[in-house]
Amino acid sequence: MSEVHWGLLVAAYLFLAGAGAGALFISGALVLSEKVVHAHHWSTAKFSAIAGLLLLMLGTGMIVFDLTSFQYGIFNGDMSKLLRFYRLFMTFEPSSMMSIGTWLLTLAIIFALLFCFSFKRRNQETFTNRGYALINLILAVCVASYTALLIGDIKHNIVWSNSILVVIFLVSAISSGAAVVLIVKTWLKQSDPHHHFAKADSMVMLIELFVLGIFVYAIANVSKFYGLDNLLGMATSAGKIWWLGAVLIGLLLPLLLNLTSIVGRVGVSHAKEYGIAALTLVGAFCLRYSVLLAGQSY
Amino acid sequence: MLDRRRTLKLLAGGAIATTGMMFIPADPVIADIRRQGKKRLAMVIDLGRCNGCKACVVSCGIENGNLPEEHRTQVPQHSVDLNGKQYVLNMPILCNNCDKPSCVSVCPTGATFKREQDGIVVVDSELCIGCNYCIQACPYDGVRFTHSATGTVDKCNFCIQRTSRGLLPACVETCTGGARVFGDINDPESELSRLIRQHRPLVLQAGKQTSPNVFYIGLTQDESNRAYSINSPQTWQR
Repeated sequence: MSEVHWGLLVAAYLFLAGAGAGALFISGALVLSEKVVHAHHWSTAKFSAIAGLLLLMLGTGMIVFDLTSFQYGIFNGDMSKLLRFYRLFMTFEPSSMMSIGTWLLTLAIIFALLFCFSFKRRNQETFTNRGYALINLILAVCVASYTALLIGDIKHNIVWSNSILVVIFLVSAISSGAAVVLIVKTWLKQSDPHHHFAKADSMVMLIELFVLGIFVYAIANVSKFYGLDNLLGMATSAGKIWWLGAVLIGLLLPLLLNLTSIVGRVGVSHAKEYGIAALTLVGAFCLRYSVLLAGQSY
Repeated sequence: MLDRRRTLKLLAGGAIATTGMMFIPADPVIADIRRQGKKRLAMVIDLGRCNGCKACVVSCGIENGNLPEEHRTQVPQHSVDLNGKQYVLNMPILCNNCDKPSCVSVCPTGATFKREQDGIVVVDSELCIGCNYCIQACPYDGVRFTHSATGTVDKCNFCIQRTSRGLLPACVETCTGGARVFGDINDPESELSRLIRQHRPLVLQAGKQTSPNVFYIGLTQDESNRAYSINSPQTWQR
């Protein structure tokens, strides 16, 4: 392909949907687990759910802005084009992954909203809260997987139609969701002397590193079979963003920072926590952006 | 339980089947289209008769109101090496109006669909939201594009405004070398059917299994497997 039709904004959409779904997943898991006993745990779950909802809404806004004739309508003063995106939400085409995803995203936003409201009635109706938590958990997994299936549905594309991509996007969504929760936790000034969060985060990052390795191996082999240079090689812009942004900045550095605190048994400062979260989020964005570019450059 | 011998056999079979996909001739595609028995409009392009004049490109642009830099069809000129000598390959590219189009199923609003009456794949610009999903799904690069005057996806539709009235598409009517031939693939008496019988043409990237309705005479198997783009740079130099 010679033209890049899906660029930064689509990558931002995939990233925001992933991070939002991840935050909602962790928030739902916190509520469902019996570990939410202290008020600060409850606050973490509540604010993480709110952050997840806002990220999902922002992501949907991005897709409306970039993937519909909305921009054309603004720049040409054409109201019919400006509002045409509503067709995306009024039509259901079961064969189209984008149509399925739009409805999934709409459902996820509605239930995330209900989940956020349910935090107000904690003591009266705990069951309702757990019910919404479970629905959010399921929808979060669906949304995070859908972002990979959206591009994976383009079957002739040797980078995108790779089954492992669903696992990568899912694990990356949980990892970036954890980064959002870490920001919330740090903002609430909670300390974690036993490194529970850092240990869990490191475990997710190690799993992510493992599945990224499988993906690179698959892409390198497929590239050879089709007589192409490796699409994720350092010579391409996609490759540079992948290795420097997704792997080095987004995975290895935060993993190292987490591990030095765990092994050294030193308390993680709030500044360091913000740093780890920021690096992870940058990496999650770079991951999606590089995969999008690599798929459009062969 | 699979033993090592059986696993190796299966792997070898898979490799052969995958490689074989790259060398599918157009015959099964045509047989598949004919089995349906419906009117199926198609185009045959005789590369031996294409002189690269691009009259088709100009007439298409005028007929369909496309801007000079936005093309429903284009004729990129490639250098090909034959017996140590350089030749020009004029390669007319357009939407293949596939029988199993990958663009139709992905469309989230149903704006891209295949017409029952003649098999032409069209884009309803009133329904299209401009998401570019169909552009990504199409294996033929550049044949679909976003029309800058409408903000929606545009492509060759065999000039339905003309062909619905029994006229020829603008590019076919203007072709100075008579390289483009248009007709019903299911009409055995048509010029198109005669050419297909006589020359057994190839389709582009048959391995993608979209069953294109644009057939090329004079294309080698190797050339037909290549991923041409409507926006390919001109590599032919005199």
